[in-house]
This record gives sequence, C-alpha cells and structure tokens, in this order.
Amino acid sequence: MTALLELSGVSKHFGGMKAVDDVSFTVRQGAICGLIGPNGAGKTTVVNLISGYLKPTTGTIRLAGADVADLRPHRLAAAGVARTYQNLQLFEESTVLENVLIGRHLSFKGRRWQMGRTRRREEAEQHEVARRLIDRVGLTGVIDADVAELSYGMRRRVEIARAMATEPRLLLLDEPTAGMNRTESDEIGELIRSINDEGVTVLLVDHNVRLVTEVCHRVVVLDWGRVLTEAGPTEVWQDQRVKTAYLGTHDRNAVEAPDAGR
Amino acid sequence: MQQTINGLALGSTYALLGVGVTLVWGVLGILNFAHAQILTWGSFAALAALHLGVPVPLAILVGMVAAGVLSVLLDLAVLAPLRARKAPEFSFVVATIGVSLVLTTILRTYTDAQTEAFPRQGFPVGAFEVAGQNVPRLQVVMLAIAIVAMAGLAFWLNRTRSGRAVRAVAHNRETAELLGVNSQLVFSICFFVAGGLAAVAGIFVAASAAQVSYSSGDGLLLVAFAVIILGGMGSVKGAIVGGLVLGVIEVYATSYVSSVFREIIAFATILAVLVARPSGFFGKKEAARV
Repeated sequence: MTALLELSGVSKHFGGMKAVDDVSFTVRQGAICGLIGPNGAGKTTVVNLISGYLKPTTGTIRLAGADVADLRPHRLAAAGVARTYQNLQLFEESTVLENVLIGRHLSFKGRRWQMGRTRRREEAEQHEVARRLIDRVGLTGVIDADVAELSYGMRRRVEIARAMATEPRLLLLDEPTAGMNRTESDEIGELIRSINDEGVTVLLVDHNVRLVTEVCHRVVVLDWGRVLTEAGPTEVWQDQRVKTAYLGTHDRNAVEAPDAGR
Repeated sequence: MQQTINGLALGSTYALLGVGVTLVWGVLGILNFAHAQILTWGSFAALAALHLGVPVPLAILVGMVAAGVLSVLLDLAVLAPLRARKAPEFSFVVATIGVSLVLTTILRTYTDAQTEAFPRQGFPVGAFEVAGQNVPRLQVVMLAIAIVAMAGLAFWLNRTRSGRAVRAVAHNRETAELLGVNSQLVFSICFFVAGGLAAVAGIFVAASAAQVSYSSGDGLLLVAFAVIILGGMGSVKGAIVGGLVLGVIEVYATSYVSSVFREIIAFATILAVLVARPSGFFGKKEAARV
C-alpha cells in the first residue's frame, strides 16, 4: 500500500476565493482513484495543481515521496505525470500521429541532435510506438487526419494516446467521457482499466456515476474546495452528504433532500 | 528575367529576416523590435572577421553565430525575467524596443556614426550570362543560400524532434511543457535561428551595397514586419512567400516605374492583399503559429 500521489493540506486561493481549501488525500500505487464532486467543487483545480499548471498557495504535493509542487511542468512530465484536459488541448493543426509523437518527446533515446541514419532510425522507432498507441485507442483509421477534423469522442482518445506516449506513472484524466454516449464511455472505461493493468496509476475526474462506480477502487469527493469524504466506489453514493452536495443544496438547513443518487 | 532574379534575391533577404521575426512571434507571441539591430551586429561581426583575414564563408558563419548568441542573450537577459513575472504582452514589446536602442547606441558610438566599407573580395562578383542577359552572381548565390536555409528550416520544423517541440510550444506552451518539452530551450533555439538567419541577410545586404553602418538594419525592420503581415503572422511558409513577393514587387517598381515609388507601390500592394485576405497569404483566423 505505498502511496504514489500524496496531497497534504493543499490550498489554492485566487484572490479571496478559496478554490481548493486544505485538501489532503493519497492515491495508492497502481490504483484507479475517482475524484468527483459537483461543478465548481475544485476538481479541475486539483488536477491543475498536480500537473504543475498551478502552484499551490500552501501545502505539499508528493509523487512517490518527492515534493513536486515546485517542479516546472516539463520536469514533472519526466517524473511521470501525464494528463488529459476537460476542454481538449490538442495541437489542432497537426495530425493524430504528430500529436502522439509530441508525447514521445522525452522518450527519444539519443540526445538532442541526431543526423542522418541515426535520426531516421530513431524517428522510425518512435513512429512505431506512436502507431501502437493510436491502434490501442482505436484510431488507426484516422492516423494521418488533422485532429481538428475528428469527432469529439475521437479527440478525447487522441489525448489519452498522447498522454500515454509519455509513459507516465500517474495519469490524470479530466472528464474523459464528457459528451460521450453510453457505448463510447464504456469503451473508455475498458481503456482505463487496461491502462491500469499495465501498472499506471490513474486519477479519474468524471461526472459519469456508472463509470466511476465501475472502474474506480477509491473515490474522493470534493465540495466547495474541500474533501467531503473518501470511500469505496459503491459506499460513496450512500453517503447522505454526497447526495446533498450533488443535489446542489448547499444550504445545510434545507431538509428533505430527495433520496436519489444523481 | 534579370529583374526577376534581382527581385527574388532581394526578396530572399527579406524572407530570411521575416522568418526570424515570424518564428519568435510564433513561439512567444511578441514582435521583436530588436531584430534589425541583431542583423546589423551580425554584419559587423562578419566585417570584423573579414578584417582579420578570415575567408568569406567562415566570416558569414562568425556573423551568424554572433547574431544568434546576441539574440539568445536578449531573450535570456531581458525577456525570460519578464516571462517569469508573467508581465503583460506590452512590456515585452517595449523591452525589445529598449534593447534595440541600446544596441544601436553602442554601435553608433563605436563606429563614430561612420559608414564602413564592406570588402567584397571573396564574395562572388561579376555576372553569369544567361540567354544574352547578365545575371549577377552575388544575387544568385544569395537566392541559393536562402533556398537552402528555408528547406532546412522546413525539414527541421516538420521532421525532427526539436522542430516538433517548437511547433508544440507555438501552439500551446503549457500543454507542450507537460508533455516534457522544455519551453525555455525551445525559445533559445528559436532566438538563435532567428538571429543567425538575420545575420545572413544582413551580410548579403552589406556585400551588395559594399558598405554597412550602425543604421543599416533600421529600414529593414519595417520590411520584416510587412513581410510577415503579408505572409500571415507566425507562418514560416508565409514569411518566405511574403518576402519573395515583396522583393520582386520592389524591384519591378524601381525598374519599370521609378525608384521614388518603390516603397509606395510595395506597401500599396500589401494593403491590397490585406483588404482581400486580412490575415495574409497563409494566416489563419486564430493565428496558426509556425
């Protein structure tokens, strides 16, 4: 039960607004951990803090025991953190293959400058790795298409393939099934499981109750920037506080929360 | 024919200059107002090397490296601290204007504001005779060097690891960083390439005029901006096409109308293009950088 990711007392203030307030939780090595909560609960801010895009106002973030809160993002990538984005951040005018190849940036074996045959061999090898990843997310048919031309669901898969290209230890997925139908999100669930089977630890932010319940080992619930509770994927929905939070009644005096999950 | 070659040769210097400005714009989103001074310093470095008896190809290399290093220093010493402080865009522009003034003043003081002769020995002189027409060798060499440089640049950006990193940073710096790209390294590489290409342009301009002064580059800054606006901000292809088009127009205007109208005709053409295509030849609405 070693912790790969450890947040302790992490806060992020934007001016007077406490987007994330004293959040602590750990993600066990090899686990799939869900991070859920109503809109505006601070889920994406937490992902942005872990991925180094934002620096915490206070608190520490540890990856395999090492403090990573002050690492520059490209160092963090080298340390093994990769992510996808809620609002997709693909290189729009490049092809699927090129997007995934950028994820291979750190994995080139040779150093920076290569010429002639060495360069060609290295390029060929990296193309091969990228092809396999693209095949795995089921996009071989559109490998040379510009990502701008792809459907929303396909673009989400490109992001996952690109993140996997960096060979991460910790994969942060920010709403990977947003805007997908049931079949599509089931496929993403399968993909997340198979990624996890290879030993990649996953932090999954999603609103899809079914997905979270089916793939996650643990679930952390955020509300108003704080950790509301942490529990197993089925127990978590039984918690009255979680139901209340999801129904949007933040007035704790309002009684009569209807007895339904979301 | 001869005019077209002359135009393309002039245009290729414009293109070399424009590519540097467009590359920096592409990755950082700022216009580098010190670019012309970096060109001038590169020309002077080459001149100093020539005075020491260094052969021409090596002197060109000296100029390129000097300008490249100066350009990287500009980024590291002035722009990087502003980036670290997340300064507003306008600060960067003002900072490059400041650097350009400092560089001009140093060079003006050092040269006593005198124009220096630029030795042409060792540069290709004379002319080829093609179909009864004289085509100056220097122009042909200039054009050839520009073509090689552009082909190299295109290969680098599209087919190599570091070139892909440049395009990734240009498109989205944060995302590229989290994929392991060191953006500061990308900035330094771009500034070095921009400076080096500017020096090549500066040296050939100096060689064809047989002189160079602290203010040689001044007029070229506006040209470089015009070139990238014409070609589409941030598009390397655009800078090349824009440079060549502008060069040819200027030479045609000079030889068939009058040198008085040279710039008027050139800039009127740019206006006309921009009315038809407000984002230039290869510009996208959302500035497809690099």
